[in-house]
Amino acid sequence: MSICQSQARGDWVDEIVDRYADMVYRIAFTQTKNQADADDIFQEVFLKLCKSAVSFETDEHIKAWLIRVTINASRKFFGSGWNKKTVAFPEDLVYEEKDQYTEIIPIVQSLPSKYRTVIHLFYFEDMPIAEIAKILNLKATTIKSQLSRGRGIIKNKLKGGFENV
Amino acid sequence: MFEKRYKDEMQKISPTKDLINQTKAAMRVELEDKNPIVQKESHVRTYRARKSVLIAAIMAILLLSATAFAALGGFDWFIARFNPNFAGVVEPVMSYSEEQGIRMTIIGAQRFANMAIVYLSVQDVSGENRLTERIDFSDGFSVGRGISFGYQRNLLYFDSVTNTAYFEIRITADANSPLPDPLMLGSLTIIFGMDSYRNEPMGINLSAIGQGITIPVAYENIFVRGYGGEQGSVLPPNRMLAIGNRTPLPHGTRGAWLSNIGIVDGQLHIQTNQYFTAEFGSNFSLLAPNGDVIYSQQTVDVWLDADGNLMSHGIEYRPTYRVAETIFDVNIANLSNYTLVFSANVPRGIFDGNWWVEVNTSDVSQQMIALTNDVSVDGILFEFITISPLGLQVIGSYTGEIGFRLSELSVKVETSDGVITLSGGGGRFGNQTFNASWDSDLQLNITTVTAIIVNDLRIEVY
Repeated sequence: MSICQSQARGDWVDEIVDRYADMVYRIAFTQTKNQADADDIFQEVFLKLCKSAVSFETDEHIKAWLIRVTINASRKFFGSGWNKKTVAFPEDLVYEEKDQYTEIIPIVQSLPSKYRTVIHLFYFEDMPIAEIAKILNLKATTIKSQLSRGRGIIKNKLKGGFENV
Repeated sequence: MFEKRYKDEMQKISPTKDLINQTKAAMRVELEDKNPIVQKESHVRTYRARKSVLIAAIMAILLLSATAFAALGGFDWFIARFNPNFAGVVEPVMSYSEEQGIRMTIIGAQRFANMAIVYLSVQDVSGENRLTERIDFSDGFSVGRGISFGYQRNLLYFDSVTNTAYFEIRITADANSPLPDPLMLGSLTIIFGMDSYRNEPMGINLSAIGQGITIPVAYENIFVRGYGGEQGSVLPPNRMLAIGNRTPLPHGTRGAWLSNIGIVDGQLHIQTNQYFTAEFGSNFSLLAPNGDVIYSQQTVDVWLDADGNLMSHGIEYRPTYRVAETIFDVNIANLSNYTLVFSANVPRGIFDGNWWVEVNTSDVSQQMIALTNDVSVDGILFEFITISPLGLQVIGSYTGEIGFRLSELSVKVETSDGVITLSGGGGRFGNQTFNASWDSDLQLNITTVTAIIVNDLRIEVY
């Protein structure tokens, strides 16, 4: 699908955002660890989609593009001059909004960024390792290794053991 | 259990309705700016409607040709758009390799013996528009591992809308290092832009420079030497500045820094250090008060291992650092009169990766002429001549020493349509043999070739 092949412009915007909003937002949240920053990344990514001249051939192509751009945008966000002036959040920060989620998300958020990404794509987006590897431009063996290490850290942090990971 | 718990919790994380609506509104504005739709008054409905449809159609075509069509059109689009010099001989390939959001597409290619022509594009498909008109492959373009070859690249066009650079690349391999079949075309390093600095002041007060702390350096530690003027009797130094701490170069560069500066044996030494694989070339000069440029007497490069030890010739492992020392032979009592300036091409960004495309080409022997009669040309023997649509390759031999460069020869191809001058003459000499090539700027029609003319000698082609 390309911008040029869309029906009305408004329909295309609705369709794309409605289909991928949650995915983009959750990846941004996984990377930035807070919803305010995830909000900024979310909007930036969809605006980039409008500006992009890439021709998308399938829905899978769009999805892969969105995942990649969201991760890159999150990384640049951390590398930006503005962000450098802020106080860095500690890796083991416990979120205050405990009514939204209990303990799993903070544990995953405490992982190093690269493990967080693959854990999220594997367990939440149900993406196979080969597909994650292709999107992140890494070898499948690297993805497996990052998954394994991420799981190991989660296992140690979870109270009451860790099942079926 | 973890998976279910993670999913249950993450399901609660969603963008708010306000955020979604704001984003959609911003997207519509963005798309409207790119492709405005003109609304006309209704009382002239029929005419205006047709016109607005026409405008929309034209805008769509313009948008299409500038963006998606560039990707959709492929080989035929490329040939029609650029009409490259060798359109008639290249075969469509349209295969790509993509890494880090950079896609290298081999659009078309053809090989003739040890010469090849490749049309390719490099595009930033990430949407970040990182490429510039100064994109380059640096030393990273390859036609297969272990092949000794030279190449010329010509940027045909840079499309800022699609962030795509289109190149023509001409390849000539050594006769004793034939091009592989299939070709493995690729790159390990893409520089996506360059900033040029010419005689930029370094901001260093030379009058404050004192005696440098030095280390010994032997001839076998020196890998590269350059000379500002005539080599003459300039001897390599036996001392150089101690490898110093990093001081950023004022213009910033990836993986390179100012290492030390000092006086050694009455000469001004300036030392830079860089990671061995860093893409950075620089040189220093001194500006005299009257504006004259004083060039260095010599520069030497030494290589260091990961522990910072000097390496010697004959090493079998890759160095980690490359240290360059620039030496000025000026009166150090007058250093306050000079300004140290810096010239360099500094990469804006570099991708190190693996972009490789395997290219199979057809048998094109019918499009080549091979001449095997030995022909003596001004004291050298042309033994094997190959003429292809790309130009000429010659393998030959000579006795004694030849008093001219092959590039000084005038080489032309006579055809039934006229005489075409070739350029080049580069190649390799060794053990009284040589192989050299001359390129044609335009595709040669082999069927019309009647002779090769080298200087005043006409070599008839039957």
